[in-house]
Amino acid sequence: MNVGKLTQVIGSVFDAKFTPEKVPALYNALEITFDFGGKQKTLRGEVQQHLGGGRVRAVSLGGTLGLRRGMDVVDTGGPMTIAVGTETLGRVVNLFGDPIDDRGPIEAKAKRSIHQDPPRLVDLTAHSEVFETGIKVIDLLCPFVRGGKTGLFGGAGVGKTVVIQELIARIATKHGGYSVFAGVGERTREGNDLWLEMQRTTIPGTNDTVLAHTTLVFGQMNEPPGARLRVALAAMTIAEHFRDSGIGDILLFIDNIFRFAQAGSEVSALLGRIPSAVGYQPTLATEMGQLQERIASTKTGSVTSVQAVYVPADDLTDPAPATTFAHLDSFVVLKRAITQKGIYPAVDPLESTSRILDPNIVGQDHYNVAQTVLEYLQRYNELQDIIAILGIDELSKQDQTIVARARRLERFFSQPFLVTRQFTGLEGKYVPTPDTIESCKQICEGRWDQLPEEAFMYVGAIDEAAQKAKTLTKKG
Amino acid sequence: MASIRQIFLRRKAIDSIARMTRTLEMISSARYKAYSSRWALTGAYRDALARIAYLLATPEKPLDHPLLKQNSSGRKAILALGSRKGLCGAYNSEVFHLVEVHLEQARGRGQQLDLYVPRSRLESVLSFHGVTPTEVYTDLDERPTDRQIRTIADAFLEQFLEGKLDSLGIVYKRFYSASSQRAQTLTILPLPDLVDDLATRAQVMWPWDLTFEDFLMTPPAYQIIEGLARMLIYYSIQSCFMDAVLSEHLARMIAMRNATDNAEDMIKQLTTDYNRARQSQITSELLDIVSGMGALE
Repeated sequence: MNVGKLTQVIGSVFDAKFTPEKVPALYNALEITFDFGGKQKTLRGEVQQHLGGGRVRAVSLGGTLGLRRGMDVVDTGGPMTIAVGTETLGRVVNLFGDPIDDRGPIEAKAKRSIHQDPPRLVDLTAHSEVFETGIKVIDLLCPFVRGGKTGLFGGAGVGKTVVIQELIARIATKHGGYSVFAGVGERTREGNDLWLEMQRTTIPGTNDTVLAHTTLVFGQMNEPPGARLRVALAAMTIAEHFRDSGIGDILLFIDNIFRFAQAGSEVSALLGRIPSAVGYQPTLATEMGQLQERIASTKTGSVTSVQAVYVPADDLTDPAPATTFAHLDSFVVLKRAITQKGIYPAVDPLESTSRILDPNIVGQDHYNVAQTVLEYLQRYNELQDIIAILGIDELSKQDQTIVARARRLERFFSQPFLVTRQFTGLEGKYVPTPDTIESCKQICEGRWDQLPEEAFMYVGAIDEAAQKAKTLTKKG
Repeated sequence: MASIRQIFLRRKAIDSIARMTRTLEMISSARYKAYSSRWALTGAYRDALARIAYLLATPEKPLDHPLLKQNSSGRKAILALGSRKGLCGAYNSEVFHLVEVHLEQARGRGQQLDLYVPRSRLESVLSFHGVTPTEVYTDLDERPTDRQIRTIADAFLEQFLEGKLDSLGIVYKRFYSASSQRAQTLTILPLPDLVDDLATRAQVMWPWDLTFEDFLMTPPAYQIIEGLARMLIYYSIQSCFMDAVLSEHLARMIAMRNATDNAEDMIKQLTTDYNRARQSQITSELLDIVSGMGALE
């Protein structure tokens, strides 16, 4: 056994000294076992740098409370591995693959290193099939790709987590295969909510709960940066195993990928790297690329991923969201200005887009309607300043019509969610894509100009708006 | 956050808009003041004319004059006065709504309705709704000259006397007071309707409220009415134009004042954004320099 000594602890980074001939390799896992408050505690770390003279610098994957210089540091001889396979389904694990749900140990047949190479170029498959969500604005303007990657961008408190939980509720319940959820640096409470919710919900047509088909991997806000940096990789490893063993189509949810970049920047300075733009690690693009390239569909199976991306200060040009952008097929951008109008999901129709919004894939009709909708909204956006200064009466009649329809479309894109029923009191609505297209087409054609704007709030397809208008006039 | 330059350019653009709206407000308020004193006088004169016309048109022995008869050709004419320029709020759409009512009525009764408009912003509103005016007067100024009014009125009078026109109405924005202007119709032809219309809207003592002796007229009534009716018609049209232009300037004054206020609010907000963006850029540059220095040590 290769044992070294702990020489220095700087926050969540520690140095250890080994015999120069037996320096642990980069990314090797190190283990320190020590007594803390009468309890045996094991702290794991990962080698990040060789400092020369047998000294290594490692990032700690747990709290460094209780460490002392001179403690024994054991080199495990390889990178960290975690339990993978169907045994992990229905369980909540941390980044080491250890269960944290108090349901006994996981007897996994296979273990896998959390560091893997991305699939080879020839093994990748290109998918261009629409993945329906039943959420009007998403299906119309930024349709998801089956086997593709979707990012949910949004500043603090615009509803990223709600949208991701809604997507879990909508697609994980309908989806036949397995799902993996990675909780990266978000609220532990939300993770608990999700866990309980998954135990309650059953997949239609079976007696299985959603949880029985899902593995949850958590490294939430309470964890040190090292854990938050590696938990996404751990979840990815489990998903990769499902994919590579040909189990079928996998859903991977990550909430929140920004925390991965943030954790990287927290340890980066401690590792002695010079901060780059806005204080991020100089290796941001590399780290993001290593993770994102692994989320890929291969010939053996597909991984459809949905990632929430926190946007610091609502600035999409911030390096962390900007680096994430490049890897995605479909972008759903949530905007604060839209939440302020009381419209949820607060998807910004003009900034959200998808690679497959192409007439050859979604069909000519869908494409045309989406473009018309965007034209209306774009024109409305351009007129905003004029309206703010001169008032709507100064617009030409054509523009007034455009504004009226754009405002109706904007409101029509609100939708009651399944997971928010207890807050809104409204039944969740699943709108099939053809209905969405037809509804939006009719709004653009002006068939519903006579309905009041409120009638378009929180309804399903357009006939429900007409229905709501009737009840509104009755009340009024 | 938009880049500093974007915010800066946007603020500049809004600043020019505010400058423009402020100027328009000043122009309109100057015109408004100039016209409002004249307006006060026209009302009194028109009412006096109307009173005499009333007396002549409603004698014990009815007069037989072509201007007092009712035609039945099934053709009506509306002279609609829109704003000459834009940027005056809902002025034209209000006028149009009233025109639309007339159009609906005519359609319902199976009558023909011809629309006459001076060159104005109303034209584009009409064309948007697919209404084509029969004639557009292209040469009228903000306040048409007496001669121009006469030419317009005489054309209608001729049609009326030939029996080709049942009625003529003016749709215009009536100026009640500085705080109230509304789109209204004044019936010009046939003459009794005009007298009626004027009688119901004027705030003066009318002959039926007064007692007076019978009186004799030389030349005879039908001769007096010939000249008086034309005078009253010309004058009524003229005063509608007066009301319209006065309302337009007032509407523009208010609209532009609001616009200037809105623009100023926006400039204030953008200035805050600009300062904040600039400060955060300075902070991040400083951070980069300091951390770069730190790394070199």
